[in-house]
Amino acid sequence: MKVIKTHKVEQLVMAAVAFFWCFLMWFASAAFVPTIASQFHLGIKGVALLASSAIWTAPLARPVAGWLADKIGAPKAFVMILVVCGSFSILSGMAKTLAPMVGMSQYHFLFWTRVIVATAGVSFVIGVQHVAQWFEPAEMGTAEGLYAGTGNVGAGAGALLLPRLYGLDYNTAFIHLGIVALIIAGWVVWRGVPAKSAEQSRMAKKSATLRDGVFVWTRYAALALMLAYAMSFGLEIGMDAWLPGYYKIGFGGAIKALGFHSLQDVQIAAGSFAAVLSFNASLFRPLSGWISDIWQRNRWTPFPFLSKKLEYSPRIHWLMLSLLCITVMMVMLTIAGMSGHIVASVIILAFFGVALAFGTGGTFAIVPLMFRERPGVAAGFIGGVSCIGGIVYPLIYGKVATVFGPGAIHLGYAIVALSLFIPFILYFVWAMRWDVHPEEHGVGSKERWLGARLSPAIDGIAEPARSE
Amino acid sequence: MRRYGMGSAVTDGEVHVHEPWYKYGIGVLFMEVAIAVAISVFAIAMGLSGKPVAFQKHVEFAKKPALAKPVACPRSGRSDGYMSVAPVKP
Repeated sequence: MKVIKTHKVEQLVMAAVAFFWCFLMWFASAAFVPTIASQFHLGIKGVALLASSAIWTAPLARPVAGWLADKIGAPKAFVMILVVCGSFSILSGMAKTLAPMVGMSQYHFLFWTRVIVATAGVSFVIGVQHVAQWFEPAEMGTAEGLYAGTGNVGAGAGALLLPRLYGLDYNTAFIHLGIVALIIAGWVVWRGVPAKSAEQSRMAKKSATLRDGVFVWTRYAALALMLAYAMSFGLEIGMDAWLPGYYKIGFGGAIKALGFHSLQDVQIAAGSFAAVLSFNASLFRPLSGWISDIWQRNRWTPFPFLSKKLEYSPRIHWLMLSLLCITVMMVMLTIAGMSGHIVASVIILAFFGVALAFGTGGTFAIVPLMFRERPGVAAGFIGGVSCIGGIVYPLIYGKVATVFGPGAIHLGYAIVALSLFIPFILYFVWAMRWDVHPEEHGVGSKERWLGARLSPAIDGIAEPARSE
Repeated sequence: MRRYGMGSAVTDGEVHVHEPWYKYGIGVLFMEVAIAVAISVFAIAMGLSGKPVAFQKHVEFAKKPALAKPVACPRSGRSDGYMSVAPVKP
């Protein structure tokens, strides 16, 4: 490990900045969807495909990124992501020049390079691992909250600022974003340290095994938390990608009636409305951890069927309330959309963002406590597979609008809430009913998956003793 | 767990005193919430007013005819600017 005089706050700031920029690159395409859709004559289906493409690589790449962060250290993993995504962001900005050279149409070149840039979304897991390597358990909630909350703002910042700074010129925006990513990569190379001690870094390396991974992936509680995160974070990223296009199509007349006429003005308005959800979902996330602490302190467990005797039961009940709020907000967004009242829609969007933040913050207030021995593997699985939601939801919204006509573009939210979220919540209630070790119930026993080596923490302590 | 102010907490009877950065961290969390509320208010106000706030000025192209008026060509002898071409003999 490098010998660099550093402080954990510096490492936190570095992780948050790298994560912020990765998220900015990840959702930069969504901010320019109205321009790209107009330039390349995309219909609703095309817009939905473009919106969901930003999330295609996340479900598979995030668990790999979590494993990679444990294996080689978070700074090196961050540098790899920033260099690859930054370079492809620059290439995507030069699509007009480069596409003919490789025999592709400009749109296809742009589309596929942006899919590669979208792998920047895996950076969340890397940063979670990095913060966990530097901070004590007592301050972990605040540290992770600051990291995740600040970094997630990148998506909203893109929707709010990029159309204002660059107008319709998305090519220049992509090039500039890529150049800054390379500069941040240089900073991480210079100042990044993987853990506060070399021993801790080695411990993380040892716990990254396939057996530990399979054990976590087959736990009912891990699946329940993954679905909860799919309902919150998966939905958040799906909405980040979907909303600018949704407001342009679903409220085109209302936006024009408000006085936004040119394509650039419509794009700015649609991006600003979308940013309401993104900013609230990001910036209220740390607050959710704080509220989870209040529930924990007061031992509030209002829901029947859910476990009430676990040390962290109140946090499960807080997450349950968040999931119910998200479902209700989805239905209300449909109602506001059908009424055609854009201001009501944006106000509901603001509360919707807060509900999403409660869900994301509430989930990751439980994960490190429930999977104390394997937080990296669990974070990779829960934070990764849940992103499938971000792909599926925009596709469902687009499909509903295609089948029932453009006027039904608002119906998708209620359909997703009733057909997917209510079954998810019922499964969550079922999986969280055990009062003793809910994390051990699953397909196959703990002994079957881990054999004699039951705990990587025990393993990690025992091995140096043997070598001595 | 009981908390005693922003900088310390009691866990299982053991007092944990947070480091100095912690209280600033909590301050940042609430600042982020304030930013989120401000942005929501801004976006809703913008929606009501119908005035987009753009940092980049609108680019408007000067209206010009699709074809510039041709200039008279003295060698051709024509005033409309086109060349007179003699028919090619077979």
